[in-house]
Amino acid sequence: MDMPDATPNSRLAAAIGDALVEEGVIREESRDAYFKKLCAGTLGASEWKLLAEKLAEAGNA
Amino acid sequence: MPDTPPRITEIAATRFRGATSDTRIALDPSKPFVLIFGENGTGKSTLVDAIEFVSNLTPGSISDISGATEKQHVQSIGAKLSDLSVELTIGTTSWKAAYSGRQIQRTPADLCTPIHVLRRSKILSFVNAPPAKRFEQLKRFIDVAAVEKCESELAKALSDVKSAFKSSSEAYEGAHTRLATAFAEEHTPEEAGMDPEQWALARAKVDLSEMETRKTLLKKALDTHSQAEIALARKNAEQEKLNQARVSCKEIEARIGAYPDLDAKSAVVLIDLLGKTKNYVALKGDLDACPICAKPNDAQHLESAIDEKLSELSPLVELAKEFDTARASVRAAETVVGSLYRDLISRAQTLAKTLHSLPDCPGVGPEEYPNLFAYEDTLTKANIAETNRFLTAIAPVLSDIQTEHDLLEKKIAPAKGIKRDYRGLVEARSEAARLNRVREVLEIMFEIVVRERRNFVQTILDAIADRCDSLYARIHPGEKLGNVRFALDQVKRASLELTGEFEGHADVPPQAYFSESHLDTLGFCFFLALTHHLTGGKAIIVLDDVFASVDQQHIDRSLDVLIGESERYHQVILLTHQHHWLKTLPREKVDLITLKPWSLDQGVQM
Repeated sequence: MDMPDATPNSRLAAAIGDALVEEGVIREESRDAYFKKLCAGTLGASEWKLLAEKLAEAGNA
Repeated sequence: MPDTPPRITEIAATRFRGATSDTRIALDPSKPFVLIFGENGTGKSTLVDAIEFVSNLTPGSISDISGATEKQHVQSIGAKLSDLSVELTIGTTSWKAAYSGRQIQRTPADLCTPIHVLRRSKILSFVNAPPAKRFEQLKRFIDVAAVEKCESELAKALSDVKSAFKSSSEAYEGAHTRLATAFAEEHTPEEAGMDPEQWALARAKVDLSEMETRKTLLKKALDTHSQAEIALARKNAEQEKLNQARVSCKEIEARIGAYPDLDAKSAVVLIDLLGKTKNYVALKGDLDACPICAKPNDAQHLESAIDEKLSELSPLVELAKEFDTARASVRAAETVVGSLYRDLISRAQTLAKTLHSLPDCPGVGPEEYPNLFAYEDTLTKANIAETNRFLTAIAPVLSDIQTEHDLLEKKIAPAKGIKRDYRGLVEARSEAARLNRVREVLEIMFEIVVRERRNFVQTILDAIADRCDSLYARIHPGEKLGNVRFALDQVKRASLELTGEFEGHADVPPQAYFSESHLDTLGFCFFLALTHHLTGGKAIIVLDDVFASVDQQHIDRSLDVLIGESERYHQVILLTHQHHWLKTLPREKVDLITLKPWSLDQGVQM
């Protein structure tokens, strides 16, 4: 995990990334990309929705 | 001293607050705990303000003093703001701060270690503060604004999907209701056992294309006929004008014919000839011979003879003009009527071809109307006559066509409505099911994010509370109070609840039951726990008279705590006016600095 600074945001983003992987919401290889977006506050509604649509379509989660 | 942590070794101030002259306070860098003792009014607050001035670039306690303003009172009495300077030496490096315009500027800019200052007023502001204000104190430790922004976006996505799901469900319900109504009204006895959706599916499968094609052709025939009728009406109106023009022409011709021995045409030619002859004679002046036969002539006699004849013919001249005008009107009307005939025939031809394309409309083919079907642009009596015959013949047929068209429309419109509603029902149901799955996934995601955020924040709060409680128990051993807990309000996000235990009663607000001295020590313990959590001990802590209301027994325990805690920080500096601290002070562990009484000339001195 790329964690240049352990700010509260980055530590929480890492915890959320881990939980999303653990519960099958995102794939292991996507964790870093989501972590970065969570840290930067740029994970928008449309992207959450797209992710949910893919999962719903695949019948996962 | 390569292993010595960064510690303040000197505080120097000039014309700053109570430092009226050059003040220099030296600290022993070998001891992590420094106690600066001074009676009231010796300049302790000036020293703390000086540390804050350099470390946090604020004027310190002056901003809390009623009636004092930074720009007027931060400098010593009688001094100018530009005279002021403060210098802090940490290890062997000095940082100097002074005003530059309205800003405090420090050189060098970056300090080598954070310095946290706790004043008694801050303790009370934390303990007694409303939950939202208390949260502000802790915010930087649990500031997860970026993640919270993503969480808000996730909540928005969830809300959007719920809203879309509701719309799809409503669309499904609407289509279902309409189909049920249509079924109740339109089903045949054979279809009675079907449910509305099955019935709609069966109806939706019916191919309407043949009916629609025929309806389109019928509509085209009706529209073309309507246009032909308009063209016929216009043609008839113009024909009427043409007829009237022709009658006028005949009347004028008859009036000209009433003149004996001269028909109108000859009269007009004669009048024209006489007029030209008169002009010729006038032009020549004295014409004494005929220009053609050379026969001698009397010009004067000739002119008067011409005038006499023209006078005789003058009524005929007016009639000739009227006749010309009438002829021109007839020609213009003939052109208009011709053009309207072409338009009419063209529309009639389109109508004939449209009707001929209908499989069950006999008697309107090229055999019956060869000239109409063959018409291109040339008007003939034959195609005019055929057009008139055609329009007369199809009048009753068009009535049937209108009836059939209306009947088809009555059949097609509801059938299309059922088809549309059935398709809408299937699509809405499918979309609602899809959105419901997306909603479920988003709810799982939201649950994960909220859970992780709450756990994360609560873990920090618990760690701070545990440390705070541990320190507090050391100062208040055996007392039935403590067990301090922090909790975020789950509804009001930026709100921090503080609870403790008092005489066996859990979860009570400490500020309601604890004594003032207990609240002082609670705030002190909280400050230590908080700063240690924030910095990991890599900081200098300054405590300004924070134990004002604490008795000897608790001061002794607080001293033990501070000496122990000072090993966990770069340096701890305590300023106090209380003699209690000096009684049991282990001098070998503590750098004790005693301030001399303050004077205007000397300022703050040790």
